[in-house]
Amino acid sequence: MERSISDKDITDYVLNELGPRERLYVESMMLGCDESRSDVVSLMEVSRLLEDGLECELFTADLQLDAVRRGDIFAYSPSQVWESVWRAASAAVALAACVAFSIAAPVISKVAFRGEASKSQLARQLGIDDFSDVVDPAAFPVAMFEMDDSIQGGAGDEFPTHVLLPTGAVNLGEMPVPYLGSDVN
Amino acid sequence: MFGSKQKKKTEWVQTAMLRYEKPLLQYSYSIVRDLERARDVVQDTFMRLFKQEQEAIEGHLSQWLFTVCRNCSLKVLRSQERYVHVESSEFEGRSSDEPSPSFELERKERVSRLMELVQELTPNQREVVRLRFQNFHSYQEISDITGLSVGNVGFILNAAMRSLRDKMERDDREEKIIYLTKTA
Repeated sequence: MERSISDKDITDYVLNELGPRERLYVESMMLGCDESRSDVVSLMEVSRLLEDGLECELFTADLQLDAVRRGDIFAYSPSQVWESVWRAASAAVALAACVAFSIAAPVISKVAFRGEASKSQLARQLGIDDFSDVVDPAAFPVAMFEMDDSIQGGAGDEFPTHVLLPTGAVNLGEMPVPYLGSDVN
Repeated sequence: MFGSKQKKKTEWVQTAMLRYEKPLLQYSYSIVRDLERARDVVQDTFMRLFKQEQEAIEGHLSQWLFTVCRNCSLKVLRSQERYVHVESSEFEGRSSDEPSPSFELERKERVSRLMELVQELTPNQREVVRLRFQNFHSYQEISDITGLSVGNVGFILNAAMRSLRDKMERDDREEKIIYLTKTA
């Protein structure tokens, strides 16, 4: 079904607000319609009269800023430039202060590197190079045993010489032997 | 460095003022209906322009100015909550020193009559008509300034133009009737 043009289409055409394809369509529809063409002519006349009339309004003598207001506009400008400069400088100073604080504060550095210091101490105790999975030595749940190759057991067993407790390495030989009862040889 | 940047910005604002001071005053005046308040609004608009970076607004300066001017005018209107009656003498066109032919005189009369009819349009229609025919903004630019959809802008302009045309044709018919009655 062929679309006919609406009043708005004609106004859009007069005001040159149609795309090329739409414009072509409207023009083709107007070819056979005297009413549409006279509509266009009358709206073009209104458009020209409006432009003339509203342009005349701009020539009204009072329609301008007075000298005081005009002066205030241009006197306003310098503070705005310095304001932006001060704002940028303040932001830079604040950022530098944050960086300096994070580097120099001993509490922060101790908290940040405590784990590493403890790890290196434990690694030295046990002769272990890789201790990266230990996050907090104080929370290390399992006691580790260090084997002494010089001790010879009855059936070739190896006995640990040290046990590693959270508080540090302890020599097993120095630990008190628990009483296991008179039946144990 | 800051001195030359400042100078460049001042020149930019001065150029904008030369081009847009009167249209903005007229536009603001059409909203706030008070010349002094319109001047305050336009002063505020250009002071805000100073805060902006030229590169950010380049290419759509007109839209930016009219949008800010509109927002400031509406703010004034809301705080005032009143309209000030406008004397039609404030809208007198520039007078010509040369003698006008009758055709030109008739045209001026039609223009004058049309401007009176413009005052009878709704505020929305008046605003859109002014943005289009005084400041030559496209539908899209008017939409950006007013917040109306592009379709709505077209609809309002269509209604306004047809209303003005119909009223003028009615006035023409009535004049003819009066003339014919007098000469009869």
